[in-house]
Amino acid sequence: MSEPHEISAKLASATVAAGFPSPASDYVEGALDLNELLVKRPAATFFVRCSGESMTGAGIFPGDILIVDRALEAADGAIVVAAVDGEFTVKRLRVKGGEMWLEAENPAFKPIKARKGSEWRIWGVVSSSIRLHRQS
Amino acid sequence: MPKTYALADCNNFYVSCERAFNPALEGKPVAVLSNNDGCVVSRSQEAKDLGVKMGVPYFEVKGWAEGAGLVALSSNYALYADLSARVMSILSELAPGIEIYSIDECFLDLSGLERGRMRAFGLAAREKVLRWTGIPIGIGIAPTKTLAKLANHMAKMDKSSGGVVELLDGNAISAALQAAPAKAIWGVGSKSSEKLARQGIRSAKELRDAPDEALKRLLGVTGLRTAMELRGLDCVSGEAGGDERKTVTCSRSFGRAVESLEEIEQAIATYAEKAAEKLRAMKLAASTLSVFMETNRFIEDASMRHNGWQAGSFQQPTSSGGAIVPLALALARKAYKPGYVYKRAGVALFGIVPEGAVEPSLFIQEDKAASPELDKAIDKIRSRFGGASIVRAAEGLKKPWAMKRERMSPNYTTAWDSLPQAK
Repeated sequence: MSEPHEISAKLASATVAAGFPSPASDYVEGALDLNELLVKRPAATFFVRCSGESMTGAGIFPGDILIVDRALEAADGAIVVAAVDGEFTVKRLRVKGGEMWLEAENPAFKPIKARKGSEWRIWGVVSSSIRLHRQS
Repeated sequence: MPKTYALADCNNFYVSCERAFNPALEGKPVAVLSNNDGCVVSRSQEAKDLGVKMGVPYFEVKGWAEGAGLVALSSNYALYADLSARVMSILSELAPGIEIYSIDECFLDLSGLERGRMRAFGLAAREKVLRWTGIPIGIGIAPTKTLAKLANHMAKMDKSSGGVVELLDGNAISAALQAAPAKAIWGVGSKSSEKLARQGIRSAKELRDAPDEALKRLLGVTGLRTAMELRGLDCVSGEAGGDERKTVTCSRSFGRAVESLEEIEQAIATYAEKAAEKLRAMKLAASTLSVFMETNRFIEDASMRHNGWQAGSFQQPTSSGGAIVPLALALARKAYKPGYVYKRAGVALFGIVPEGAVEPSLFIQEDKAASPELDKAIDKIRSRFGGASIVRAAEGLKKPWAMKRERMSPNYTTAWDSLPQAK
């Protein structure tokens, strides 16, 4: 067992007996923080407002706040914010058989495929979304 | 151990910030205007190609430029400060030492990194910043800051460089200095280059190889230092030289471990006050401010390391402690995370303009906290009784009426009601 040393960086949640910190108690105490839950990489995280109905099938509605982490790798099935023809859109990314396209989750919206004259690129992956049920 | 520096700077920073949140601006001629929509202070490549010159008063080009498709935007300091803080925090995690030079430039100390790994480091850093923030950066790597600045300039000019240029090899350095005019070197202004030209010194190589005596006589000690930097001797320490001041900072390493928010606040308030004093002493004013605090960067355990960065901006460039200290404290509270042992903290002021350039706006309410008379009185008392004799109590920030900024983009990252929208 290693020599006991001062853990000055974290608050132990249990009293330390005999100078040996309990392995079960190395947790930081304090109120739960939404930032810790939702923002893993502050430098790469941005908030985007959903302004349309193309993703209602995924539980994302107009007015919801999308938490976008631009550091995340976008893979098949990820919900992403993409720049299409100069505008932002939120869609599900599909990657299959060497092709990439964007799908809505609302039957009223068509998928977006890369084609001549229409360019799109991924801006960031949506890691979570927020709905405010009351305007403060 | 020989030193190696990387100078990282953002390409067309203000325009790049605007493009990051408005993809419709990609590929278009875009310019950002200074305070009061006066002059052009940032241009996209397309705007440069159109013939819009840096610093030109906008009314002079508005007619023909807008007809040719130019989009002109007012300065959105809140946005630029926020993105700057993100870029700096990303870079600060990649290298053991970082020194911010301006809102969009910093020096990274790469000493100790294997020579063969430098370019890969530069490319990876560039890729990470671009992916995480949407901001493209260029990187120049060299044994001194002055050479790194030149390498960075070459990275910008040469598309085939991939945005990263190393000047580490003696032959490469000589070739680069041969091709560059003395005027292109950091710290050599037009007056200095004229003096040099009269002595037959035109290229950067001739500047490097000129006799020390002649250099000291023509350009003073700073000129000699510049030449020595070109020779590969690291001479520029602390806040670097150069004709224009782009940042004023005050930072300290703590003598002992600092953990509480209260201690951090006291330190930050002190540094902010000192930085404001420096500004006033140089008759300058600043538009944006950033606060940083870091744990010991040599700690092995990554979970015990934390670099907190936050940036904010003023409605109007200021040198008043009454405006600077409260903002610094508000940012410090945001950057602070409990449970870490801090080793160093600091305040950096950017968007530096001469005091006289701040046009008093008819609409700005006299901010009682930001009083030049009060500042003068404080400076006088300090010079007579010592720096610690008078301390300003932190005051609340008042929001003055904004200066004219008719074409400002939304505060995409600093106001909930201004978020970018996705359909």
